[in-house]
Order: sequence, then C-alpha cells, then structure tokens
Amino acid sequence: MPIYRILQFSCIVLLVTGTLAQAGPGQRGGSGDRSREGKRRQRDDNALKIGDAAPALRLKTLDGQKKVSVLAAEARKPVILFFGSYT
Amino acid sequence: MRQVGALESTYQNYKDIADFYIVYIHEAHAADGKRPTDFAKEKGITEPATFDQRCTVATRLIEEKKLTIPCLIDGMDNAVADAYHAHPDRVFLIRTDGKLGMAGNRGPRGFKPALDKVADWLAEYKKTGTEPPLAFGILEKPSKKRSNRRSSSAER
Repeated sequence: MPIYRILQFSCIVLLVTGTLAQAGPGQRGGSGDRSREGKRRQRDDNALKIGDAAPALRLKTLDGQKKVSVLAAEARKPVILFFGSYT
Repeated sequence: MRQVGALESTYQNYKDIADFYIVYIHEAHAADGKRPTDFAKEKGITEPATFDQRCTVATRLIEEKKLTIPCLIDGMDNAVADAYHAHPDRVFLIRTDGKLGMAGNRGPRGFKPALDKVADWLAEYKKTGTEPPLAFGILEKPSKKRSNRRSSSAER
C-alpha cells in the first residue's frame, strides 16, 4: 500500500475520532444526567413497598402543642399519610 | 399539593375508621429553590429557613385550601421526608400491624392514583370490617404514554 494512502487513512481516523470526542461528552452527559435522575427516582419509588414496616415518625402538630407518633405497635386504626408542601 | 379537594373529601368520608395526617415537608418548587415555578413566585412561597416559618407556610396552605385534616410538620432535618422518600409529595397507607398497605409513587402524577387506591382500600375495609390483603394495595404501573400524562395534568 502506498505511503500516501496510509497517511490519508490515518488522517480520516483521527478526524472522526476527534469529532466524536468533542460531541460525545455533552450528549452523553446530558442523557446520562437524565438517566441517573430517572434511576434515582425509580430507586426512591421502590424504597418503600407494600408490606414493608412503616418507618416510625414522631412529629409536632401545626400548633406545636403536642407531638404525634405513628408507630407500628401503637396503631389501632389504619393511618393515612399525605406528604407534601405548598408548591 | 394541589389535589387537596379529593384529599379532603376522602378524609371526610373515612375519618371515623382511619387516622389521617398531612405531613408538611420541605417545599418542592419554592420561588428561591432550584426548580421554582410561576405558581410559587406568584404566591411568594420561598423555602422556610426555620421551623416556625414552616409552620407559617403550612398554616397558609391549610387555611387557603380550607383543610380540616390534622397537619404535622417535618423537622428541619427532613428526617421523616427522607425516611419515607416522600419529596415532593407522596401518599401512604399504614395498616394496623404497622406495615404499609399502600405506597404511592412520588410526585404529582403518583398522587391521584394513590389517593384513589386509598379510597378503594378504606371502602373495602368499611364494608367488610377487616383489612384488605396486602395485594389489594398494589398500584398499576404508571403509563408512559404522553397522552395519559396530558390527561393527568389536566385533572390537576
């Protein structure tokens, strides 16, 4: 194979590799972030499942007058918890 | 927590057979937060820096939405929100044996299906007098179809 052919082929390989290296990190980073976020949410959603023991909680009421505890041993009725904020 | 209308009606229907609590946790989209919404900016809701400020924002939520459900406030260490993986919002049903009878998916899209499941669970409990089996609380997997997302956001 003539030497100029080898040089030509090498240049093309270097050009293509360089272009991919430049474009790659941004694209991969973007979708990677989304993917990581999706996986994290999935993990959190699966963190507590039906049949798991409910974590004990002991919190102050809105007026600060008393603390309410929700513990497995104390539950005489089913307890419904709505977690949320204003926004 | 914008779907409070359905939440209050569920409470009114079943408060005699179950204990209900709103647990106020750190803001999802505070005006000064990482992902502020126009709604938060319009209402001037910033992330409370103290426990008293949390109580003030929670009181505003309760009064504006005319809620009568007892409200608890998570501590500034967010320990309960973290333990329940509850941010930004999430619904749980705890059985009398202390096990989770239903665990909603996080976020506004998970809220309504979970609330519906809670209502079904409580209706069954009220009718039969015994707690439904664990399998009763299993939620359908959320659809990824775009059309369904639109319809669920329209319901809000």
